[in-house]
Amino acid sequence: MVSLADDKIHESVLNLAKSINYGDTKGTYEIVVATVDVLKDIITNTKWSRAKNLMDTIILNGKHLIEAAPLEASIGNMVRRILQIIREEYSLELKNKTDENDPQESLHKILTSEGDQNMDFMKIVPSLKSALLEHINEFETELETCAENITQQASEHIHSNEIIMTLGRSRSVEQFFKKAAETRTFEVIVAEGAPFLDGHEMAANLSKACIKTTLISDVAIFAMMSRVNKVIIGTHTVMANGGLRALTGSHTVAQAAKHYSVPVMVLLPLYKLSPLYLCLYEQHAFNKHVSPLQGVISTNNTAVMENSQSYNPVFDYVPPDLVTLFISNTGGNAPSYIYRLLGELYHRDDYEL
Amino acid sequence: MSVNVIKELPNNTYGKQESLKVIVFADEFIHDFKPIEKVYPSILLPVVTLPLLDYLIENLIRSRVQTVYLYYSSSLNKAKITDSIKHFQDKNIIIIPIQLNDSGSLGDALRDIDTNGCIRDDFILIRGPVFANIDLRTLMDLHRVRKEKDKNVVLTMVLRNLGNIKDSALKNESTLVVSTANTRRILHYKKLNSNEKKIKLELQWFLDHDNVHINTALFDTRIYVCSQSVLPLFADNFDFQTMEDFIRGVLINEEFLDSRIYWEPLIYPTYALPITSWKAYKILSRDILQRHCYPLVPDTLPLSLRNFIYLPKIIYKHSSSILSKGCTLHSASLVGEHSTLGKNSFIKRSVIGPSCNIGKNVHINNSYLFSYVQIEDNCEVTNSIIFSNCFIEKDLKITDCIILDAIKCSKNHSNALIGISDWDIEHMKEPLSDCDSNFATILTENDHDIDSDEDASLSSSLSSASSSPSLKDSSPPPAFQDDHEMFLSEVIDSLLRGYQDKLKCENLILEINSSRYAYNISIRQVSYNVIKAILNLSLLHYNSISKISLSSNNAEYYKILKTMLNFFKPIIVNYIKTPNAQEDCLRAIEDVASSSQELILPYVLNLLHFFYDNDILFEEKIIEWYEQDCDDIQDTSQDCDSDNEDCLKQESKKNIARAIRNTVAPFIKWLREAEEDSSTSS
Repeated sequence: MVSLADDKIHESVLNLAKSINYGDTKGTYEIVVATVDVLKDIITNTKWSRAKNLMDTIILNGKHLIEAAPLEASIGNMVRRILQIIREEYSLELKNKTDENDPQESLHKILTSEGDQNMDFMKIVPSLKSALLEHINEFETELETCAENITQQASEHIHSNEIIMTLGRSRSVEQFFKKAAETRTFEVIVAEGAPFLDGHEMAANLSKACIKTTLISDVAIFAMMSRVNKVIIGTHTVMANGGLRALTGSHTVAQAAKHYSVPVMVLLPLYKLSPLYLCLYEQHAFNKHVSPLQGVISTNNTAVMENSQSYNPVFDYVPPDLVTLFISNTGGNAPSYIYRLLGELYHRDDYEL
Repeated sequence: MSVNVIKELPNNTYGKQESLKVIVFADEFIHDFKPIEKVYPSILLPVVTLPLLDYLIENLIRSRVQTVYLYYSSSLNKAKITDSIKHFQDKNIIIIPIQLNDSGSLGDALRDIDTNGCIRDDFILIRGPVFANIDLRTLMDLHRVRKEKDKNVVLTMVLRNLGNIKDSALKNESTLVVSTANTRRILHYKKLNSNEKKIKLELQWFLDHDNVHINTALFDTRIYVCSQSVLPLFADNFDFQTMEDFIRGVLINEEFLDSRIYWEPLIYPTYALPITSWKAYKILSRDILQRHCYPLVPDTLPLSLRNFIYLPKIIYKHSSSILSKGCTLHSASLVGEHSTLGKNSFIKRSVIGPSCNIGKNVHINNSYLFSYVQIEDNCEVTNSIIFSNCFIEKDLKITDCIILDAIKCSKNHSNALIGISDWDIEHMKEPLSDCDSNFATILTENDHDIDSDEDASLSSSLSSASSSPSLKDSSPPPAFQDDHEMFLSEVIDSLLRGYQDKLKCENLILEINSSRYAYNISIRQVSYNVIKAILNLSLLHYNSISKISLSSNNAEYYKILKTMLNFFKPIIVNYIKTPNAQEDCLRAIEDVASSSQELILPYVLNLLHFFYDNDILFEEKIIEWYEQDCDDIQDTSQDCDSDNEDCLKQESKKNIARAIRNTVAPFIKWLREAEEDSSTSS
C-alpha cells in the first residue's frame, strides 16, 4: 500500500482506501458506487488532454485501490469498466470526426480498418470529457437498477410450491424471494451459514415477509437437499472461469446439489464479474481469514485457544461445473458463457492492470 | 463530490458524539518485565515485527479516536517515542506525546494530568503495553448508558473472560472478581496468589444482592473507561499509587467516596491482552499469527506490513523475503521483510523479523528474532528471544535464551558464555513447546566490538535479570522502610505544629490518619510511630530549649515530657486501645529509650507510670513486656528496622533492653504488689 508513490494518488482514492479498510464502506454495492464516484471525480477534476494520460492516471489510482483492498475484486472490475468506457467513447468520438470527412462505409474499409488494439489514444478529442461523463452517468443508473433487474426475473425462476434452499444472508437473494412471494407460494430452507450465522437474520426477514421458511444447521444441508427443487445463492465474486468466490459453506451446498442433481442458481449483478482466475498460490488475494474467535472457538476457553490451530476462512471457491445458471441483470447465463460477458464488459488489454 | 460522501460517512454514524479522548501510558511503572526495559520501553517491543504501540494506535484509529495523550515518563527516550509515532501523522488521529516529570507511579501521573486540566470529560485509560482490538466507542457508549442509570459510576473495567485457566500460562494472573450478576457492579476485586487455597467471602455481599457473580477467570485488560471524577479522586486520595490501589480504595470506601466500579466483558469476538511477561508476549505473538485478533493481523494491517502472503498452516511470508532451496517453514511462522533464509533451514513456530539473515541448515524452533539478526550456518535456536542486531556465529546451539541488543555470540567461548540461569523457570513454561523447556537469560560477556560502558550496562542488566528471584524478595522492604520514616517525620511535624499552635487533638488525629493513608501504614505501625513521635518531639523540644538556656538539666526535660504527654493524651488514648497497640507502645518507648539513653532512660519508669495511671497501658501488658526475654525483643523489633544489624549492635541493644528493665524494676515490683493486694482484698 505504501509502495506506490502516494503523492500521485488522488486524495479521494486515499480516502476511499482508508474508509474501506476501516470498515466505513461495507458491502460490494457500496464499494462499487464509491469507486465509480471516485473515478468520475478523477476524470472531472484532474488535468488531462489525451485519453492515454487519463487512462494512465486511472490505472495508477485503480491499482492503489486494488492493493488497498485486494479482496474486493469489484473495485478492479469498476476500474476496468471505466477504462472500457473511455476506450469506447474515444473510438466513437474519433469515428464521428472521421465520419464527417468520409461518410461512406465500404466492406473494404471495415476489413482493413485498424482494430482497437492499434489505437494509441494520443489524439486530442475535446468532446471526450463530456461524452465520458454522460456515459458514466448512464453506467451509474445501470448500477442502481442492477438489483431491481435481477429481482424482476424472480417469477421466471421460482415456481409454485417449490422448495428452495439458500445459504446465509444475501440482500439480493432476500429481495429475489420477496419479489417471487408476491405472485407465488413456495418454501425456503435457509442454512444458517456458520460461523457467521447470517442465516438466522435471513430466516427472520423471510418469515416476516410471509414466506414459509425453515432454518437448518449447516450439517443438515445434505440431508435436506433431497427434497429441494432449486438452490439459489448469492456470491461475492465470480471468477473468469465461472467459479464462485462465495460465503463459506457454498461449496458444501453446491456439492450436495450436484449429488441430487438439483440446479444451483447464482444471483450475479454484473459488477461482481471479475476477469481474474483463482490461483492457488495467491490465497491471500482469494480468501479472507478472519478471527477464529468469530464463532469457531469460544473466547473463554484458553485451553483450546492455547493448544490448537484454527482457521476461519470467509469464502469458499465453488468450481464452475457445480453452477447451473447465473442470473444476471441482463438475463440468465450458463457458466460457459461467462467469457462472452467478460468480453462485452471489459477490454482484453485491461484484464491485467 | 466523492470526497464529501466518504468524509460524511463517519460523521453520520458518530456525529452525535463528541471527541473521544484516550490516555495511553507508555510506562508500566512496575518493572517486572526483564530485561526488556533496558533496551526498549515495553510499549515499543516488537510483536510480530511491529512495535506494540503501532497496533494500539491502529486500534484507536479504528475506534475513531480523535485525540490520544501518550504519557511517558522521563526514563523513556523521547526520541524513540516521537520516532515511533511519526508515521501516524497523516492519519486522522492526533497523538500528543507528553513527558511526565519524574512521577514514580500511575497515581502521580494522573494527579499531574488533573492539575494540567486537559481532560474534563469521560476518557479511556490504557495502562502500559496493551494489545487490543476493542472498539473503544462502544465501550464508551456502554459506560455512558450505565452512567445514566447510576450517576456514581467512576470506572468501567474491561475484563476478559479466559474460562478455565488452571493449565494456562496466564494462571498467575487470576483475580477474584465478585460482582452483582445483572449490573456487573464490582463488589470485591483481588488478585489471587497461585498458592492461595482459600478465599474469604463476605456475608454482606450475599445479603445485599440477589445475584452475586463470583469469577476467578476474569483477566484485567488494563483498559479502563473512566468518568471525569476519576482524576479528582486520584488527586484527593494521594495514597492511590496504582490502579489496583484505586480499585481497592474505591471499593472499600464505596459509601464514603460515593463511587462505584463496574466491569464489562470483552464484546465478542474482540481480543485484548496486556503484555506483562515474556509468557504473555509469547501468547500474544501466537494469537496474532493465529489471527485471533483479526483485523490486526500481518496481512490486513494497513501499515507497512501489507505485503504478507498468508499460506496454509499459519505461515506468513513477506513478498520481499527470500527462501532458498530446501527451506521448510513448518508451521505458525512468519518471515519478515527482506529476510533471507539459507538452504535447508527449518523454521517452526517462530517469528523472523525484518532484514534478518539466516544461514544454511539453521533450525529455528519456538523463537522470536527481532530485526537485523544474523545467524550463520548450522546453528540451532530453540525457545529463545533474540533482539535486534545480534550476530550468532556458526555451529552454535542456543536454547532457552534471551539475547539482548547487538550481542555477538561466538563459538570459541560459547560454553563459557552461554550460562543458563534458572531464571523464572515456573514463569516461562511453554504450553506449546515440544519439550517442556523454559526461557532463560543468556549471560554473555560481550565481544570486544561493543564499547565497554555499553558492555557494563548490558551485563548489569543481565545479572539483575538473572538474580531477579532474590531481588524480588528483597526489593519491597526498602520502599517500606522509606514510607515509615516519611510517615514518622510527617507525624512529628504535625504534632510539633499542633503543640506550638495549641491545636485541638482531634484535628491532629485526623491529620495523622490522612498521612497514614498516604504512606499506606498499617494500624500497628501507626500506634508505634505515634508514641515514638511524641517521645522524639519532647527530645527535640528539650534540645532546642537547652541550646537557648544553658541552665537546663534532666529535670527540665522531664517537665517538658510531662506537659507534652498531658497535651497529647487524647491522641495517645485514641491510638493505644488494643492489647496489640499497647505492645507497640511499649516497643516504641524501648526504642526511643535506646536511641537517647542519657535523657529518657531515667524516666522510663515515670513514663510507664504515667501511661498506667491514665489507663493507657494495662498492668498485665507491662508485666508481660517486662518478662519478655531480651533476645525475643530483638525479634520483635526486627519488623520495624530490618536494616543490617550486625552482632555488635544487637549486643548493645540487648544491653539497653536490660538497662531499661533494670530501671523499671521498682515499678514492676510495685505493680505486682498492687496486684497481689487487690487479689487478696477481693
